[in-house]
Amino acid sequence: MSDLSRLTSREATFITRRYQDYPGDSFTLERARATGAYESLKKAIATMTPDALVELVKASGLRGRGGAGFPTGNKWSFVPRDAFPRYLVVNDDEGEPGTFKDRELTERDPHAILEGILIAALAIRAERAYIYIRGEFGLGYRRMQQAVDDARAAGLVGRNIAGTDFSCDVFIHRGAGAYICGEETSLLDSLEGYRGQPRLRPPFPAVKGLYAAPTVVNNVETLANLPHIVAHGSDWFRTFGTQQSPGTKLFSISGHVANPGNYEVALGTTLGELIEVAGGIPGGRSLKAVIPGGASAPWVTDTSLPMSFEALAAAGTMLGSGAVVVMDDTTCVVRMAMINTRFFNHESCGKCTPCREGTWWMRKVLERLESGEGRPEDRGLLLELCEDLLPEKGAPASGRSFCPLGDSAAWSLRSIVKIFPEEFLAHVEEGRCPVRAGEEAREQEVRA
Amino acid sequence: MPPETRDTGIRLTINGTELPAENGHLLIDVAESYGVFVPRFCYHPGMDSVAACRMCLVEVEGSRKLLPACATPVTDGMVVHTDSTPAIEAQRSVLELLLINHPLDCPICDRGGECPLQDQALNFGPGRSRYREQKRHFKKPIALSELVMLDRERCVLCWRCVRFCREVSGDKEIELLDRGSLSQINRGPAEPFDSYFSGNTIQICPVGALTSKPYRFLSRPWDLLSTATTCSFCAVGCPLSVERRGDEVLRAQALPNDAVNSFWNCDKGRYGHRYVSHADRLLAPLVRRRATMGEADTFEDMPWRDVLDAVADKLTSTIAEHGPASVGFIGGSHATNEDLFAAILLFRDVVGTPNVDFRTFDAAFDYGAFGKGGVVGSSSQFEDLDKAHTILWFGPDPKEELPVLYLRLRHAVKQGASLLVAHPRRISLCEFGTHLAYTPGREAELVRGLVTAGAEIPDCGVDRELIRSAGHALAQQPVVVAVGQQSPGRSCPGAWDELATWARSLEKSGRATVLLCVPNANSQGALDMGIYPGLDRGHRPAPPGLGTLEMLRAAVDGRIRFLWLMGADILSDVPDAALAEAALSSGAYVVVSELFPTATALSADVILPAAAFAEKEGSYTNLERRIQKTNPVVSAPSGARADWHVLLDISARLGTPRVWTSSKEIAAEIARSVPTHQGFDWELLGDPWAPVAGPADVPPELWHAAGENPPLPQYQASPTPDDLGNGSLRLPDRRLTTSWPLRWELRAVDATRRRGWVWPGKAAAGPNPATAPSTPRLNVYEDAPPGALFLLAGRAIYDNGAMVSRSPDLGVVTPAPFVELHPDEAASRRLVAGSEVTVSSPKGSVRVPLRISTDTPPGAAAVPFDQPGMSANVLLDSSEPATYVTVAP
Amino acid sequence: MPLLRLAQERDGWVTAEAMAEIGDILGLSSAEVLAVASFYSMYHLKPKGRHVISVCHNLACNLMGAERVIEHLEDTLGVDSEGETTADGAFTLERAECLAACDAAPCLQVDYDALHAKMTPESVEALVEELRT
Repeated sequence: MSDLSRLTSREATFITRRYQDYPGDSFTLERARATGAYESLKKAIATMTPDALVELVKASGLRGRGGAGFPTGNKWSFVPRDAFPRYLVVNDDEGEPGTFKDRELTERDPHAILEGILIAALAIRAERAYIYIRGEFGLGYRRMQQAVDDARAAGLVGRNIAGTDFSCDVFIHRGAGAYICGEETSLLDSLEGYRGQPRLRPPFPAVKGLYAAPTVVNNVETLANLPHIVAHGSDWFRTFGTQQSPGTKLFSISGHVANPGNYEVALGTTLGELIEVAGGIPGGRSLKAVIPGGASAPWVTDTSLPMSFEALAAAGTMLGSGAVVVMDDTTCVVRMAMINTRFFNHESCGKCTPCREGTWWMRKVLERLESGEGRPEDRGLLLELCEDLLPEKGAPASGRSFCPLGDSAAWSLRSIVKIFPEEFLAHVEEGRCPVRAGEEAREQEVRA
Repeated sequence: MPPETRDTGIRLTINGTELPAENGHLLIDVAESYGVFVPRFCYHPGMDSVAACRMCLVEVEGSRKLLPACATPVTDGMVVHTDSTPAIEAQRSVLELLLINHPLDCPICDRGGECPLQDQALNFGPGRSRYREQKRHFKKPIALSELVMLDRERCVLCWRCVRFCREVSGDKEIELLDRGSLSQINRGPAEPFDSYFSGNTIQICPVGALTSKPYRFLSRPWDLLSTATTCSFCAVGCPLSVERRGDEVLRAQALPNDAVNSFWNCDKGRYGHRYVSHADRLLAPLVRRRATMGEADTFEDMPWRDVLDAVADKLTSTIAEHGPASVGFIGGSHATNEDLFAAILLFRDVVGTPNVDFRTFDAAFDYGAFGKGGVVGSSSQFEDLDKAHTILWFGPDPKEELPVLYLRLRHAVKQGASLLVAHPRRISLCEFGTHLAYTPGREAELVRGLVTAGAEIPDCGVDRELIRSAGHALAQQPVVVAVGQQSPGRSCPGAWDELATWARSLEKSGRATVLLCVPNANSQGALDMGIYPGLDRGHRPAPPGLGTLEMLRAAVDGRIRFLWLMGADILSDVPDAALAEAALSSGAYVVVSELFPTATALSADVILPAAAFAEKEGSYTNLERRIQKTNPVVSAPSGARADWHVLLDISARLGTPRVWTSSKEIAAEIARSVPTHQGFDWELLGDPWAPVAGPADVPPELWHAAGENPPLPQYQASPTPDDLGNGSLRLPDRRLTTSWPLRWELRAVDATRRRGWVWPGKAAAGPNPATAPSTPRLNVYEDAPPGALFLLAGRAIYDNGAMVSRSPDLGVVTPAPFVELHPDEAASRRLVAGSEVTVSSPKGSVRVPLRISTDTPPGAAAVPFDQPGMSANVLLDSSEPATYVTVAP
Repeated sequence: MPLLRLAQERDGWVTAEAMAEIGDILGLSSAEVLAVASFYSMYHLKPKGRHVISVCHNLACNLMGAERVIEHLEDTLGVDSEGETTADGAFTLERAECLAACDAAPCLQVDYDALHAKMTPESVEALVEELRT
């Protein structure tokens, strides 16, 4: 246990520090400033050129926390030097099933995000930033709007920030319920007021993004790292995490653990440690499988995996958004597969054929299987359909759909079918769920 | 395009063969031009790529993913496989997925037999589906409009129709709705899908989701015989495929021509041609039998021979008694060049009258003003619009009168041209052009401002700064100046003269070209054939003669004693109904050649039943001087005759027999005797059925460049005999066995073969005396009488014309008449929108519902020129440059 | 999108008239407005109840018993969970995808705002009672 407490010690957690220390008012400007907010911004404005900021973040090795893990500094450096206006767009459209870290950050420490926004805007020389906040986030929206208003009143947002000649205004746009808008080009279309459907690339947003101007889209957690990197330097940042995945990460742990919640730990912490941090699996049950990086990520069963971008990629899955869903032995994987696929089908934007029709088909088959009307060929058919959307040879980059949503649906489903072939067969042979009994037992336990 | 002409670009390898190509061209087009067809649904060469359907995924070495060929530009050294196992597996998979929710109701689908989904499923699909689940259901079919039906179950969501409305027509009335698997195409809750271009969405639909309401269930495509021809309505001259079963025209579709219409046409051209089989068609010559006192005159049938004798006798006696100048000829703007050549032979050469004119509703417009360069015609072609820096539009609302030109202007603006729109009303072009909203009647003042680049700005209602910036834009070459009649009945010779002089001077300096926007399918041909006072064949000068309005006045005066009206419905078209009526009842002998018993025809002494557009062979000249073929689709009613035939018969009876027995022979004579048309040859007008680049165009080694294909498991793509001309063609495996609608979309269709022939825009040297020169004068505008409004008449796309009103499919979409006032004018008269009001001029009055809109400026009243229930020409006074009206409850 | 939200707040749902109105304001056709409105799940194109209860049925919530909560709500309210509205117009019940509160699973949201954590059949019944008053 002492080992576990080291993982979440004061020294090892900085993103969540403010709201861990001051859960009552961490979201206010007053508390934020009293705990150092906006000092990094002032330091950056006073002492650093935009190029130096980009170099600093490149050196820190910070990778995007939204899911793809693209190096943030590199993303910034793709913006053409002389094209103006340019925009920073903040992706606060957290929708990946299993993920709830961005909502928590938004509700509990909006000033950390805002400070990160301003630092990023300074680095890419953007005078406008738009926060795209998920439509369902009522409290988060109010807290963020309050933070922006307060910061503006305090001269920290808008014209001549903190009395300097750096200006950046920040606007909030609320989504209205569409997972696909988490994909950055869909988000841009949605921000412009259209249906959130992915755009053809190239041109990439860094060249032609919002209103056809150069645009950087960053995740809120990514941005919340920036004040700390500016304050303490890239070497300090690299003392956390691994060589290829420096820093800490907010992991959203849910499902069959004693204490579901967000946990900030260094990247590279093993999956097993992480589950222990969240109190382990209750009721003396054993682990069946884990979703290591949100609904898009293939499942794993090996808890010794280090939770880093590179280690999970090597294991054929991904760190994604850091959503860890733990499933114990009472879980029906066919039902989970159905729910997962139903989700992707529901959220498919409909633009391209493989995703629109493929997820529909897979969902139909899984719903039938789950309700006990499976056919012997269904398991093979599901694998074939996964192959249709995402040929295994070359995956995950080999998808046939327009954007990664269709790939994700196939990628995760294939892992489930491959890990638990016998359970799919059992559903067909028995015409019912073999673990239903276990689940019922569990329900009784919950009632008791 | 043969390979050797492309050596300026890059080289890439497609299916093992290294090929030259232009850098940056889309892979899908490059492959196709070498005979390698990459299957597709969402890609259409007339619109931007969206890469949504994923049907065109191909393998490009170095890329881990398959790439959509429609969105992948070719680069040097690229190595592409369209037929490798990964590519073929992807194509089969996408096709299977597209079909899982498709109803497969081909036997009852209009598209069956000419369906890109069928064709491509056969060529590229797996042949068998693993789908055993319930299909998605929608209520079907639903009517999107009076012309378009939608079956959402058949839809493959390629989005072409929506993209057409967004990108091409700009009428964003249908959209992609809902999300994911439940996505559907539909219209919005408010606007109907009444785009003038709606039929194009049916033609480009790659499945049977959008079908034509008038054509539904009428025929199977394999029972239709198609004829390539040219649209008979406006002066754009879109190439058409007119399709018949038996002797009935059932359908018309747009044929592609980059130079003219791109891939599109308007709904009038698409749905408007079934008038040819309307029951009103005249079937025999009719001669008026004067009634005895108290009874109405009647018409009786007469054999052609007797009628021709009678008409010839009358013509001879009129010339003998009153001289050749007592004979007049009006009409022909919808006739063929060959008809018109026969007409000019008869009237100018045989009879010897100078009084010939094609103008009807445009009778007050002075085309001659634009003939100072020797030619009364355009120096621009449509393709110049795409290259223009600035376009000055000083013509009618093209969306109503020249619809596909409207599309081209919209495209040109998208390409970066800046468009200046000089019009007193807010017309369609103002959506994307800068509106120079001049005070009605002050054309001359605006022109002076533009011509002097803002140095001199008489008051014309347009802001001075706007005129200056317009002047600045016009200084940026290249410029296209488009001119045409804005409002029937309005004459402003001073303005047109000054504009013409200025435009022609820019033209000489190479800074500008002029687009003379004549209205009808062959108005330009009529100018070329000398059917215009003072203008002879080939734009040579002719002795001064009377124009349409002058001839009608002369008839009233008794100076014109014989009038031949060829397809000229002067009672409803000439912008002075009272004058037309007076002329017809003046006692002059009137011969009318017509399709239908129009009011004008029923006022004539002799009615000659004419062959219609789809019943004869000939050529039309569009407003850019492009000559295109029109071809017979069905046979004419037994009693009807082509105009050229009738006119030659009369010439013969007057002692000048001709040996020509077909319009083709007349065309040869035109080439021989009309200086501007030297080199004119029907053969040059091209083979409209030019097939996909066939074996003759592609080196034989490329046919087999694909190498060994992996075996197709279910259905081998089997070449089918092609009933349209290339039945012996053996198709290699990776080429498409397809029906025509899809082939029309292929870039590889050698469009140059049907580009028509643009006659050289130079005439014989010499001054053009088309009309008496008029001096530019300002202040032609006079203050309106107190309380009166300047009448702005404008033609609508669907009107009460003889052809449109007898097109069964268009009747339902033809709007009712109205008068439109600015809100201030309505308020000051205490008039409410929708109420019936009386519009009166010194000549007459009409009662119509009131519309209120700021599109019409204060001080004016706008009316459509000719709608069912109201002809604006009863109000118009052709003796005045402008007509003022009062509007009262 | 802000106008659609506004229209929904004003009228309770996005009416055809509101879409035409928005089209007029923005210079869009009503088809373009509907295209956007129908894409996002939070805009209601049919009348909805005074309260919308959106129950997450995604992975984590399902693991923690969301289906039981949904079934109980369906029984309590007498509507199905596919967006049906109670006869008295008080409630619309719908299923939601992940509400980003998996630590609170099973969770639900009322009127796309207030989040209710760790629901049980008993607690939803209490919630319904509370909302009714």
